[in-house]
Amino acid sequence: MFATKPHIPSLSQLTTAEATLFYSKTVERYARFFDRPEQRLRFLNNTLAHQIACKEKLDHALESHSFIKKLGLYDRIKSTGFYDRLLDLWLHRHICRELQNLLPSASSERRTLLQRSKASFTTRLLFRCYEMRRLLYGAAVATCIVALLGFGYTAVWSARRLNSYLASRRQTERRLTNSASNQNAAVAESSVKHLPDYHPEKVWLVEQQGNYERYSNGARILTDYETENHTRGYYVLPRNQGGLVKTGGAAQDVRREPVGIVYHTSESDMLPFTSDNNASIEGHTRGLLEYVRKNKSYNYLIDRFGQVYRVVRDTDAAHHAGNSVWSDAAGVYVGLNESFLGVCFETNSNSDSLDEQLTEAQLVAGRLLTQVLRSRYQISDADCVTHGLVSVNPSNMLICYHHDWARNFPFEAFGLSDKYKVAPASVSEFGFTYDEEIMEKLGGDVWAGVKLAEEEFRRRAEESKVTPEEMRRRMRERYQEEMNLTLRLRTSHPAEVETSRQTNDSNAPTASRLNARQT
Amino acid sequence: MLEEKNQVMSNKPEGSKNEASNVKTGAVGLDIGTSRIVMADGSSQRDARSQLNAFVAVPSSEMAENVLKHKNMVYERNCKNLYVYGNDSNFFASFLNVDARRPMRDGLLNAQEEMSNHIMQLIIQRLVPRGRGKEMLYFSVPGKGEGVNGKLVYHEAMLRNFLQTLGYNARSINEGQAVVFSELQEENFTGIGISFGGGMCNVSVSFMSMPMITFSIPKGGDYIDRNVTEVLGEANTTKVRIEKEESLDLSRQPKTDLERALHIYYEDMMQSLIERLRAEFRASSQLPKIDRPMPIVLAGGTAKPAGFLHKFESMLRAGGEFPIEISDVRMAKDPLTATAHGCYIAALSETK
Repeated sequence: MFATKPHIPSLSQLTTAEATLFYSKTVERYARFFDRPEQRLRFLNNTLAHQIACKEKLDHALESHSFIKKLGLYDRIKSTGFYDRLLDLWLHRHICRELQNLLPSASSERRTLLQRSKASFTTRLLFRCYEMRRLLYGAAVATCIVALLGFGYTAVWSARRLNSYLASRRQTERRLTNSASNQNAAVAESSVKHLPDYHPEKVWLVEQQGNYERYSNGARILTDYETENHTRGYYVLPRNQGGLVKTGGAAQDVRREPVGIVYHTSESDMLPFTSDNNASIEGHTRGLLEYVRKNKSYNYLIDRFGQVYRVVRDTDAAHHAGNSVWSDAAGVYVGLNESFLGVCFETNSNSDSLDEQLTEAQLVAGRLLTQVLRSRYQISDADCVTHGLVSVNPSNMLICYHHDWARNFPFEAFGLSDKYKVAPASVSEFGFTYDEEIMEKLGGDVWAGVKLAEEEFRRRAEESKVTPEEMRRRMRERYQEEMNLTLRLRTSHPAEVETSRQTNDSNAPTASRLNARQT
Repeated sequence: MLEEKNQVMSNKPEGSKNEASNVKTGAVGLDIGTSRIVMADGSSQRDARSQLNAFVAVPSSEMAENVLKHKNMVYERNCKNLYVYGNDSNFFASFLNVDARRPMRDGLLNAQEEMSNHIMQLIIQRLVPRGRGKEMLYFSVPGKGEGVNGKLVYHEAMLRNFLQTLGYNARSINEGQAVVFSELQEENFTGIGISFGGGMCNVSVSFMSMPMITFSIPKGGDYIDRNVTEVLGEANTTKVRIEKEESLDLSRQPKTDLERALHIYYEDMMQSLIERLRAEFRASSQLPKIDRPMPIVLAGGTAKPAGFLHKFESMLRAGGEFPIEISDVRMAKDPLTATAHGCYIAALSETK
């Protein structure tokens, strides 16, 4: 329709006349909206003439600033499409503004005129878009907001997924590592050799109010559910006596101070840990606390939000460990209810792997509570252990009667050494053993310390010139004697003795029992 | 209606006061030509009002004044003369068998006429009512050309000042461009507008309403009248003008000496214009290379004779390839008022 050019130069290279011709192609499409000559003339003048003036002004501005030339921006602006696009946008702005001014204001008249005009569909569509620009701007802003929110949500979702993927991968790797280390019993070291010479810093009570205590390391212990039980009382057996030494009793002093910590899991029902479940999660915790208080199950309970509740006072024994054995440099402890504090985390094990999971808050709270207890009672790192490592069944002489934290307890996160490498006294002292079922439960093999303890037990049998089976039979009797001795310390509380008897076989609240109680 | 009112006013003894009494609201277009002044204001588009841009002076006498009053003629009186101007001047010139005098010559104010400014103002006042100060008025001026440039500045300034005193926001527009505005709306004001006036011919090559080339040639109706009168030895131009305006047909072969002379000078005028147009196109660096054919539209009183369009087109095509492609050559719908109408459109387009 207009001048055909073999090569279309950039607008910046055009003369005024050529630029007029260039812009006229656009302007002419819109000029057809106007039937009346004066309106059409005004439209052409106000768009084309203004556009040419704008172009000249822009050229002048670019040329008059020497720094633009020095920086090389001048050539870049003119050689790239930016200059052309800027002027093109400018032109369309002029056009649409003029159309808005010159067309009839009544929408019906305007619609009729647009339909009657010979302008192309694209032209009419573009003008319609300009008319509805505020609506379109709004829609664009809304779209951007939705897109941003969507992007943010997707990013968070992806991060969570990635996090859980990495966590599961790490867990798998750790399991494989554990499994490999289990296979190599030689790697396991003796308990004394392994335990680090680490003592937590001193922690003291900062504040004590009606329902909580606050400690210098930031720990906060809620006392709403605090209750009492019978006072602690236990003997410490000398190590490695091969059953030839006499049992405790009157010959030994009765000790009242807690000597260690046993970590448990509640194995109760778990709701998804999300913000919309806050009320339900807290409801579950309250139910669990009521149950624990009623049964005096643990000394402490840490809920999923990391709140620490003291249930049974530290001076009193809780029914958390029942038949259990552990040892340290000082000697061997039997029936850890009396000698160890029971700390329970509100969690359960995965149905397929038996692996427990802690929330971040529980990890932090557990570490702080451990520091408090270790500082207050001078508890050695060697005596911070999990229920799965100490639990035994004297009826069949098997270890790991309860399997909570039988593996994967985050000792390191609690500032503790890895007790899975420590030979358990249940095996090395009393000859408890394990079967296929236990191995299967533990992912194919027992932890490394058990292998070490087995060797030690065999060595002791050889030294005593008896078979391991004979040695095991003797030690079973000794274990029963020690348990009975411990029970006798509580004869002043017959009811508690009875309760303790009942809980010796199944001391910790299993998931099924808890669920039944809560429902 | 307005004109009648003016004439009635002129019948008063102090008939020199011919100014319109009503006040104009709206845009006005004014074609100030050498032979006619035409006003268009949209009140009656097809019938724009016009006055001859001429006057006749007679020595002042009671008898002459009585005759003028009796004939309801508009006149101006000073101590020496009575001046009959506008449309009445034609009748009075014929009556006295003299040539009417022109306030303008060759498209510009006539410096040789002492009363040119005053008479022109009187004629304009008869056509254009007073404005309120903000009304837009576009008036036509000739394009630059041989012997025009310096005088054009004076001519334009004088008229603008006078029109501003009448209460208008007065602006000038090239006469050829006004023709484009009037006739080439469908082409988005792209084309060539030529006004064949009494004093000169004005040309504007417009692209999208913007004049790219404008020029004038000092040949028009007066040039033809003057030269034909001279070559035929006539006493005045009256006979020539009457023949030209009433019976000349340029498509027919001339039969009389007068017709032959008119044909010769018409062709000379056209030839000059076409050659100048070709030269301007060749010389111009301002014109974009437009590949669509452009229309040519002709207007003005000198283009009125029958056969003018055909002759012009024939001469245009006969001269060989034109620098640009011409789509068609056409006559304005109303050649006499096209310029005024174009001025009016320009004024309207500037009116808020």
